[in-house]
Amino acid sequence: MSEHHIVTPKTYLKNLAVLMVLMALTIIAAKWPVLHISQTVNLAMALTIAVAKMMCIILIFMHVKFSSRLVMVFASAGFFWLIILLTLTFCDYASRFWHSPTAVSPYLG
Amino acid sequence: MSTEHLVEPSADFPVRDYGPPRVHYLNWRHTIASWLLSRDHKRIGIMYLVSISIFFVVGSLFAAIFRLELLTPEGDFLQADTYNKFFTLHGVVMIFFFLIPSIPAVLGNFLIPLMIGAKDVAFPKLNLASWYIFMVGGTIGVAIILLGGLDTGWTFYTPLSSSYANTHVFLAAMLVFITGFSSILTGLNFLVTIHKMRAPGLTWFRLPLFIWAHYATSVIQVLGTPVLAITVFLVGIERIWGVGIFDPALGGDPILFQHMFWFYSHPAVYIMILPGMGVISEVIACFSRNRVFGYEFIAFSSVAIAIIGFLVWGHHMYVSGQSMYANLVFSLLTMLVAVPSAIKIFNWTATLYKGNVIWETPMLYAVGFIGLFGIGGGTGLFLGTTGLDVPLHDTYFVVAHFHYVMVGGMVMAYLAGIHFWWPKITGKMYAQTPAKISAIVVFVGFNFTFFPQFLAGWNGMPRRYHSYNADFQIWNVLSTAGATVLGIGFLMPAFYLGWSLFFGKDAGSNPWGARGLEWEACTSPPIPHNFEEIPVVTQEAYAYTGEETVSV
Amino acid sequence: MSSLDSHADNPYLAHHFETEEQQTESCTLGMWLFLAQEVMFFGGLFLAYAIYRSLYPEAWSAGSHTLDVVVGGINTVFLLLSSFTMAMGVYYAQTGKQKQLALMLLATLALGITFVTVKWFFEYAPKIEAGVFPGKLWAPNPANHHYGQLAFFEGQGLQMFFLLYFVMTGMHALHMIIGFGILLVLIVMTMQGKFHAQRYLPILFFGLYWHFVDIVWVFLFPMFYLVS
Repeated sequence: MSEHHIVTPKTYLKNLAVLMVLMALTIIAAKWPVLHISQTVNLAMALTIAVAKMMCIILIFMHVKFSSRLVMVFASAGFFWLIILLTLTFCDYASRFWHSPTAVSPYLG
Repeated sequence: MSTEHLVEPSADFPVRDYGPPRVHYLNWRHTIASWLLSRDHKRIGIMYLVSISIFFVVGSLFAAIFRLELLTPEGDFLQADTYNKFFTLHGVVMIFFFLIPSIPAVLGNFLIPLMIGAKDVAFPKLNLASWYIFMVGGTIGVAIILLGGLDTGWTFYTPLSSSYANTHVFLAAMLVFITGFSSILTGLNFLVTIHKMRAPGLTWFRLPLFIWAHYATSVIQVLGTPVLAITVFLVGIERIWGVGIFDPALGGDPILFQHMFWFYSHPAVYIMILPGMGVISEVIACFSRNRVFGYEFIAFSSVAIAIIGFLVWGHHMYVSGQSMYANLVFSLLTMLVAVPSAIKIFNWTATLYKGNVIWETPMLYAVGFIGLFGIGGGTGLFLGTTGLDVPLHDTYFVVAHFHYVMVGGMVMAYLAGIHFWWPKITGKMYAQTPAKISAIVVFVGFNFTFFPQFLAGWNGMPRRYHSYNADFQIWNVLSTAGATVLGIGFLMPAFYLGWSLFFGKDAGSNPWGARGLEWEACTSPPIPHNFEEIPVVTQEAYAYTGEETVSV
Repeated sequence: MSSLDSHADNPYLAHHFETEEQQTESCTLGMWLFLAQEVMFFGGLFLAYAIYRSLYPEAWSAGSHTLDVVVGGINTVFLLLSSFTMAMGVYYAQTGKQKQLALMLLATLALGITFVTVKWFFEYAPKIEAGVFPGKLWAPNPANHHYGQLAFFEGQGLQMFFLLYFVMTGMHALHMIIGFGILLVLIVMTMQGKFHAQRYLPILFFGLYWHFVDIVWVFLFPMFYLVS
């Protein structure tokens, strides 16, 4: 069998610990009133932590850190295309009522 | 008919005739089970060929009936609701069961392992599973037709599909969901096959352009189709749950459906046309006896189309209520996607220049493709401009435009491919004269069918109605007459190709004098595992010397 | 080395591959493409979520406050733990320790089933009972101490929040339940001694699937439970 990288239990355990800490952080960031800055900032914090957790899982648990470049490209392709979908759709929703400032937007008003 | 030229064997593969093998993939087992359980990519390709041919006939019959209805301005034998069902079913059958699987699942399946020097695709069982999933979708399609049809248009726009239509939308959602996974798995299989199964020495830039085109197609299939799957899943939920995310009563936005739908369905247009472009590259090179002009440009233009094709979906939505600023962005991006298509047309034409052009049947179809796709693509630019799209959007101009791409482009390319590789697939050569006549009949019939629709649309004839203003009758009479000719053109291959199976003479391994592993290292028909020994490639694709022999 | 030799040496090499390496890499790429496909499949739902959240922030806030962070948090822990046991399963498979592998797979299955059970009894069932289920059943009971406040929400998009909640977490749970079926098969195969240091790819690939399902939850948790 061609050699797949063997990741040690110690690395897995460390990764689990980091994931648990990040989970605690995301709850604190959302529920601790001191950190209630604005919806946007809170969303950004939540998403940043979620992305960090995702990277921990992908890189360590899913071995991407130890895989070929081709696997890295394949692993990122879905996310890249997802960003296209989100960005261009938001282009529409963000600008849908720009040209009629007097009209009350049913969405953003 | 036989044309003899001098033969100059290339360094790698002597141009030699292997003769038909005693045991090949068609005759090595004879039971029904040996077909239905076959994991041989060639047999699976044949199974797809048979299935999609049946669906093509069904889809054409729907078109024949409503073309007959449109002969007169009044509603004669189809009324509004039946007419809606007929054009919907025509669209659904043709798109999901013919256009999308046609070249990838038939020719791609058959040829990709042969062209890259592999014994099979990377996942043969998955390949067979794809066919079964496809057939489950097909069975649902037949059920829909028998149960009374579908009338939402193939686009299933909400809230028509989710709240108002009284036809079998839920079944249709299942159909699209299931058939989509067949397409995803085919794409997945091809991507891995092209990455990992290439013969020694077959580097990326020695690959036939057919392979590059299929690589780009597969990217779209794998990354686009799931979005359609989840979209129709949500429509299905809306149908049975009575409440859905596109439902305005909940604050939902029906336009979001269009975004999600076209995120797949615009790139799906490239799923349909890119493999066709791959076929044309092979055919043009072979019958010009010339290296393809600007190989890298054609290769990368396929990849560019696969990526830019994902950025332009909003041009279907100029009149939907989408933001006009988004319209501007999508319009600009739409102009960009025309560039790689134009590069291909330019390079094919340049390949013909100073080539030793041979007018065999596949070449007639291929040259027809270039002209018709040029018109289809060019009118796409008209429609991609925001101003002009508004008056033209709901007219026959759009119908003519996409039929020029889908039929004039895709079906012509498919027929070019079938005629080109028929001797490889079956080991038999068809009669040339009727084949050439059919190519010309299809070309003439096609233009008579769809060019009048450009004029009718330009003059304001709206789409999707069974009756119309009498002023437009002349265009519709022309169109229906043309459709009759086109139908005859499509029927002819069934006869002479069928005839060739029983009475055709053995084609020999390389009747066209073509380059490529499938011709030079493989018998006709190929043996069960394709190659006696895995070939080693030492030269680029299309190393034509101009002196290869055609013997048909 | 001719292809015949390597096939004779190795019963695990399928006929159409030349080398074991080619087979392993092909299967790995195939699995990752399947996951890329899954990303886009869930991606459509995430898009709908993003659009409607930006349109109806108040509804999101009101809906989210009725979700139980403690239950969601505990479930997150279960799921992260199951990812860890799965990863350990891969380690034991790679090192050929069959007994430990079987234990780890069992632990993964147990944690997964716990997640879905908690989800049903502490999340779905009470909501449906309190009338917090979009569609014809939608009638939040004002007397309910937990969900009653939803009856007084005056704005658009509240049903949309719960619809997306049920569809997205439901689709996630469905992926887990499919995973249970595969896990059962893998456990039986492990007990039959079918996996060892020379043959562990099915474990590795199921691990990738399981971690992907975990990643989806990593996003769903803050998106639904932690809207401020």
